[in-house]
Amino acid sequence: MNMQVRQETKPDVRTSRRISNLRTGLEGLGQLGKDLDALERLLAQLSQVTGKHTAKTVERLRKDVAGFEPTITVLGQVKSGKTTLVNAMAGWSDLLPSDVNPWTSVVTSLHLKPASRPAETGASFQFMTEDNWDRLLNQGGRIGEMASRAGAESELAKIGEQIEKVRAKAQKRLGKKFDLLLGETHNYGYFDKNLLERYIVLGDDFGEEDSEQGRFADILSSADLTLNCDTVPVPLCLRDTPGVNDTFMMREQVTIQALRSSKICVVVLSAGQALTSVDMGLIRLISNLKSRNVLIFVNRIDELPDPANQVPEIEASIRQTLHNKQGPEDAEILFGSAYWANKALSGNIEGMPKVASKALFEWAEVALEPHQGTLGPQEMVWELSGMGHLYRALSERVIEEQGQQLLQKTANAALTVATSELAAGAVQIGAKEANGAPLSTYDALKAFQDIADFHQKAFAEELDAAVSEYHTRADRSHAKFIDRALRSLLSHLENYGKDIVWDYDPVGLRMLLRTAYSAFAAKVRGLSQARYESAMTDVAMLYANTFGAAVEGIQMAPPSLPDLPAPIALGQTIALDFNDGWWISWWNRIRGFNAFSKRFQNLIARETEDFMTQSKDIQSALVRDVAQASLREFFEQHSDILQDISAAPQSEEIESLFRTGEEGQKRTQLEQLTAELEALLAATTAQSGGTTI
Amino acid sequence: MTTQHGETLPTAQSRKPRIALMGEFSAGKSTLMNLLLGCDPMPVRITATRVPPVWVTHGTLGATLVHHDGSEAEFSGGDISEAPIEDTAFVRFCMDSDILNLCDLIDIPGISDPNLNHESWMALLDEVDCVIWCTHATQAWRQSEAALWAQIGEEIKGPNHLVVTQFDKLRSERDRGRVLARLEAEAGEVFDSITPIATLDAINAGMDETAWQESGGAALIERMVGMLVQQSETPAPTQGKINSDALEPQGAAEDLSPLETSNSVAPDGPVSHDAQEKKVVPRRVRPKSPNPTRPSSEDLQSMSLQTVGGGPK
Repeated sequence: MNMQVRQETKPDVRTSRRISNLRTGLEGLGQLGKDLDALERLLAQLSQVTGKHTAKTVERLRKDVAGFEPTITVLGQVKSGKTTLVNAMAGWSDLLPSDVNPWTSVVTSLHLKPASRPAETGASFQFMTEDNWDRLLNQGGRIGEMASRAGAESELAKIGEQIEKVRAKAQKRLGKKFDLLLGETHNYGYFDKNLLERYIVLGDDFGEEDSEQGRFADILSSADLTLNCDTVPVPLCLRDTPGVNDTFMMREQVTIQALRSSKICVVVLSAGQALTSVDMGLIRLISNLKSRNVLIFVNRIDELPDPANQVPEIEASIRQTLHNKQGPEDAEILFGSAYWANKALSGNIEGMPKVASKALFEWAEVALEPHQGTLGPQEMVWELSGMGHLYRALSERVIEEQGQQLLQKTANAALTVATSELAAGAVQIGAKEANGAPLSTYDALKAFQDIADFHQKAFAEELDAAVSEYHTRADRSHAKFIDRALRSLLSHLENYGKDIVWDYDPVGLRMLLRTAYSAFAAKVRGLSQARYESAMTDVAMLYANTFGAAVEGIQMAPPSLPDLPAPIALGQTIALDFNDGWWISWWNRIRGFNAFSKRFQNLIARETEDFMTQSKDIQSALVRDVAQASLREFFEQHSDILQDISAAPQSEEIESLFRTGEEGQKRTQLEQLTAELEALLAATTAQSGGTTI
Repeated sequence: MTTQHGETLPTAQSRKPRIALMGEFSAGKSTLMNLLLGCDPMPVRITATRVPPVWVTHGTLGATLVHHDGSEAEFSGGDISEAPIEDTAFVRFCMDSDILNLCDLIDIPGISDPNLNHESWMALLDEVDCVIWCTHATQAWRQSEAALWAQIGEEIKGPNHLVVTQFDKLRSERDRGRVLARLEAEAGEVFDSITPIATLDAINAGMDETAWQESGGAALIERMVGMLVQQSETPAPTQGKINSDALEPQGAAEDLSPLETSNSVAPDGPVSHDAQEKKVVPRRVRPKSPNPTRPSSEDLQSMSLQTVGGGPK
């Protein structure tokens, strides 16, 4: 059951059997996997005993659990070893093709399925659409962001040229097929090296010509591979991205566009040259993430001549730079070697170059704990590769950020369904004795609608006020930034003249806006919590008024506010970020002292216009949607419950059901489900030590 | 400090060629500099070394800080890596090394260091004749390098050379070929040559001629000599002076010769004695046959290139 054997190839990860410590670091996820499995089982049972309306809710919950797949995006400069690292993390040393020259040109998602939920192995390749091309050329990413501004010519022209060239080449190669392929998806029930090379490797023009290799890579927008991997305890998606700082800048575009939906990122650095300004740029691009969710993995320690002393030195240097440049100072920094990991996976630890094995021995002396001395050689190399530490760090984040939240939210909702179902039974049974509730069913439904309308309207008004407050503050920050930048510019001109290029880091604007956004988010959280609770109280009162003591058992939880969308737009690059290249040429073309301030003001205004719209209007609309959706969902769920209770069979029938034991059985089952959900919830809450938002 | 070249910046008419070593930080510039100098005055570290540009010139051992306003101050700290980066335009470092008889070497701080603004040394590039651009073999020639070179490359008359450092980090012949092929395609046009070098192997080669050859050190020195030849061929009134001052007495040519002679063919063809009047060139690239009238490299006590692989004579 847990391993699917396919005829063409056998892509499932099998190496795991040879190394015993492949799961080191994944223990936390193991527990999460068990909890999710338990929850899934309980939901399946619950769906057997729910009423017609609440069945919808349970189905939705089941879908949420089944669809749980945290994504980890691996980013870095070209040739820092991202693909090799992704292969090592997937436990399959030569899964994705890599090369000494930049090789990856498509964002490739590896969907790893745990043994408990095997899936069909396969590959799916999505071709670019006409829109994708346009976006690449005209709107998205850096090209578009820089296109409308002065001075971007050279770099911009180069990217444009590259893209046109790639397109023309693909068109020539594929002929008529080219147009047909755009927007298509190719699905395969297997994948192997040839297939992957054909689709996801752009390769280069420098080596030997290979007609099949890279046949489609240049017009592909994404690739998804699904494989069963018995080391991971929960479904995981690893995303490999093309490197940034590639002279073939189109690859960088692809990556930048993929960043926007990433929640947990691993930034891969090369030990030989840790944290360059390009890496800082990359970290800034993902600065919308919580800094805790940015992991820095310093790869290639196998190339260090003296890892024992150099690793601490590199770490200190990275920390210092992050501090100096207002980067995520508390980001976790891990060291390792994907090369070693793959050597261990392939069982070929002997064939290493001298430097790599020397580094390995030296690193072993400082990095291994005494008790690990008993590990076998392959296990030891795996341990030293740093994969275990990386897994552990990632597991913690997946659990904290996504796992616990899903468990709690789903278990709470399931508990409400189960207990209200119990209450529905009690209402039916008790109806006869109570002899007429204060409110008729019709009235109850109407009263419910009133409550729902009232709260949703009030909430909308509260949110309006919060948004407008946020806008005022953001605009003020913007004005303050321009003012400060202008003053800095003038004082620069006074002191240094025009010969030295002035640069001004827009980090200030980002910080101001981020603070404004944080305040806004906190406000929305506060408002939501208050509103959700009062909505819940009203609904609870209605239940009590309508159905009396019978509904006492319903365990209601107020809706929980999901994570508010991160301020993605803040990571967007703006002209000021690029103080080499075009900025200098812009600077050099401006003549005259006075021209500076005026043109600068224009530039900044134009520059930040889209940035401001993105972080103000679009962002606040997103937040609003999220907050309102939670409330709406809450009302929908209770409307379903209310209808189920009301639509209960006549009490005479119930009594007969009760006697035949069916209803009794159902009650027992529901009671048991309730107890199990409560236990699961209690355990989860204990683990998380209180919820974090 | 010698008087011929020294206290003040020499003017264009009377000076030796100036070769700048540039590249990303941690690309192996300082290691290469030490290889060329035959000793290790440059601090080499795994992280970015934050040192102002270091202008190495021939003379009595000593360092001077040259400030942006042109004023100078003796730098007494023994360690160049402690030279204050604020307010220092560059450090003038005098020492005795054979290669310095032929040219000045300037170690330019690495680009892409987020903590260092490269504005501070841009002005210094006006003084530079040639550039050796170091790029690390496993992450060779990235956009950040290409972009900066596009900005400055045209201003430097050259010849300019791309040196692919740590070439031994590429683990197979095929890999090495592929990287060079890509570099040729992407940077071949903007550099006069592309030379791979296994820097540490070259340093460790010692007297082992084969190792020296294999490391790429030999080819690099050959290129440098070629570069200096071209420099000296450019019309400059005092070329002769350079020869007599720098080369005649010290026998730097002899030190270089073993490296050259292993190839026995100079960049501009085999040369013989008649070229001796023609300045530096011929002597340094003279055929391998030992010349009894000159001291062999073993006779020379300087800590020059022979210690880093001058090769047996």
